[in-house]
Amino acid sequence: MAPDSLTAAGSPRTFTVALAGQPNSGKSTVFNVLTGLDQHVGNWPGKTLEKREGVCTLDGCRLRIVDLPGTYALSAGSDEERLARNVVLHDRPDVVAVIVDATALERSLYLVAELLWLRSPVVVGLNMMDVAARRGIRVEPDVLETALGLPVVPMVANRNQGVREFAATALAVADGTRPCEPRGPAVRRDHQREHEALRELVAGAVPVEYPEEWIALKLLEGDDEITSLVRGRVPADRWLAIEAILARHEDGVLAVAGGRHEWIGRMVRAAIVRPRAGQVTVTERLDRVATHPVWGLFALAGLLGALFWVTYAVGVPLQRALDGLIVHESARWVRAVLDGAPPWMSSLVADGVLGGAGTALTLLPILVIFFAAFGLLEDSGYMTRGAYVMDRFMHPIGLHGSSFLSLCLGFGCNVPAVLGTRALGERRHRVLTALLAPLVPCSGRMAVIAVLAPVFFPGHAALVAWGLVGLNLAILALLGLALRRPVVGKRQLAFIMELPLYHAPHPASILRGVWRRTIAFVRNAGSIIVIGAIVVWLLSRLPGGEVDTSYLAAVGRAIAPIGAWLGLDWRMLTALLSSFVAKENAIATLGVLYGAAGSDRSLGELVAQSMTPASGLAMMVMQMMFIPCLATVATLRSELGRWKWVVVDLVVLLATSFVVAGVVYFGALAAGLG
Amino acid sequence: MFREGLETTGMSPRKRITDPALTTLADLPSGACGVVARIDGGTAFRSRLVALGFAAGTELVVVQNVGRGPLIVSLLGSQVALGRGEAGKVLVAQSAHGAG
Repeated sequence: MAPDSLTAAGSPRTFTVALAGQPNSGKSTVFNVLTGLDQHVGNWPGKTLEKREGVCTLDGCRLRIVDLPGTYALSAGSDEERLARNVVLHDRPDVVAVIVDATALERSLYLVAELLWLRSPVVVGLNMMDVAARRGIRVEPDVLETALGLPVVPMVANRNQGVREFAATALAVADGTRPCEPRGPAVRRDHQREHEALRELVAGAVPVEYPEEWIALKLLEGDDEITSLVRGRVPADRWLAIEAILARHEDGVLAVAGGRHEWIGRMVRAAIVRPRAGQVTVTERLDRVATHPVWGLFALAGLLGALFWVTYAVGVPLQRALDGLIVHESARWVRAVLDGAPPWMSSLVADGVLGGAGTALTLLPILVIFFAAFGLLEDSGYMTRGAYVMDRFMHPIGLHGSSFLSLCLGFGCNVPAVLGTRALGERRHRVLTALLAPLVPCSGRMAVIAVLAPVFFPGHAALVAWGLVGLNLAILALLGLALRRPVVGKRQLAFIMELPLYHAPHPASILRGVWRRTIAFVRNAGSIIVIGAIVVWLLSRLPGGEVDTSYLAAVGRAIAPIGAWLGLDWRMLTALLSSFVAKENAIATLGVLYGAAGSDRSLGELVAQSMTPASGLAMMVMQMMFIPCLATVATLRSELGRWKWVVVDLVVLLATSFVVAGVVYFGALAAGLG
Repeated sequence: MFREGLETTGMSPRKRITDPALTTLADLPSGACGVVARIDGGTAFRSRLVALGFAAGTELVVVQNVGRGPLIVSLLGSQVALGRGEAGKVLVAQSAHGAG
């Protein structure tokens, strides 16, 4: 995009900066420092990838900063990489600002080597200079700048050092005041002739935005996207000639990569001084425990245990307090304010909206604390180690270590867990992980268990709750075994994951993560829950105003035979149905159906009186494995793109919840819990 | 004919010929050093590995290789976890100063 010229009104010139960088390079930090709160998060058109864009004003100019997905390279191997290169090719940013990690300079420059073929001007931000210095790695930005022929700006993004200078340099390159004459990589000598031959064969046949030598390079690499682009555009005889070259050079991907690595070697030779080997770093010391096949598991169990403990020890009292405040106090206030209004109106707001949706809102403290604790483990670099030690246990169910992270997020809320599968790259792998995610008990379901377990098993509630979580995870494993073949096929999915250095967590980036995930819950679940709460309220009032004679009761009674064999009456089934709106709604619905508000006894007492502990256990099992809430279903649909697997998943979960609840019920009867 | 050749990229019999001087990364014990010689497998898989630095000539150190679990490899200043199956497709020449 060409810079807008100065208009008559004197509005500032705008330049587009594409921000590129590998994962863990600190790119997000740079983006956040530059754009502050002036950023917009959405989706890339037609993609489930998050698009972040922001504006930074500098020297009277506007820099529109487009955050490209974090990728190691620009191959066609993942959606992120295809997207990143297409943005650079088609949107023609005025400058590509790429962040490289000074502690892993050679690897980071690989992305630069790829970007240089795309012909956009490039500026390099040499980040994490402080960490490199602590590890004894000395990088000379000036020497690197001379070697690359590109501006190189040293920086420590998380301490806001060098970021403005980086932006100013990007601006100078964008407006042409600073030259950018890169000495880019070449193809390895033994494949140069083929590369040239391919370039001649595609000449004139590809759209102008694609540099021909880049197309030839990608053909040589065996890139599917470019191969099919070229196949559809060149005449048949030329295509045959191209295929002939490629068939003889199927190791082209290694030759091209080799050329990049040779170039990187030349670039850094004079610019970097490494410490002598043998120095033991903090990361290595911590990893002796964290990645140990035995101690690593203990470390993971301990950290996750602490995570849950903090979440519930701090979150539950807060939730109770909010419950009193929102659901009860404000309901009373609403009734007082709407005193003159028709009774149905104050009931709609007080019982319907506040009672239903308000209950869901009270879960926010639990969610926020969970996401903060999770973010702490993630940001410090630990979580990848957790994924590493869990990898061997995930393989039998068709997944690998990386899925463990997404699934773990599901303990907070299934919606961000399903969204988190985006990081997994391979599509089939994403599908399987997303389909299993609803079996991870979310905080909403745990809130229901927290109410019901003490009712039926006073004194053993915690034990029962842990047992139920364990049962869910066991079923998750079994379902993984069953779904592995149909979803993933025979192929083993590749587990390749960088283990970043440990570092002190950055509160700002943790807070952003908490915000992003909490908003995902509020945005995806919020409106659905409010509407659902109103619908449930309407169904429980119409036609006569009494719960007992309402449509809701009629539906519950109609399906009552389904639950009768488990000793569950229509009220329990109705609560289960309403949990489809939001898991925690089950409690509010039970409250309405048992008339707890009008009774002098608590909901717990009323429920305990109406059924045996065996039935109570069956209800809890069912509740834990039942189809996920509407927000999760909607997220599954949008992330997987098709209904097919979502419907299969719902049917399987529904059947599983009944079968397992039945087994548990009869087991409990046999154990004398009738 | 040619099309077939394209679709089986990386799977041709030529690739299966083993070089006695090479071993797979999965066979290197913890602490051993090696130099990447070749990567087998599909294009997408090879692209992912080369982007992380697994290119012919790159020196690496096996940080951890135990039991049946994944490996940890240190190369180009960073650490990479790699499944056992994946490590089996990376052929390396064990370097002289390998610690064994």
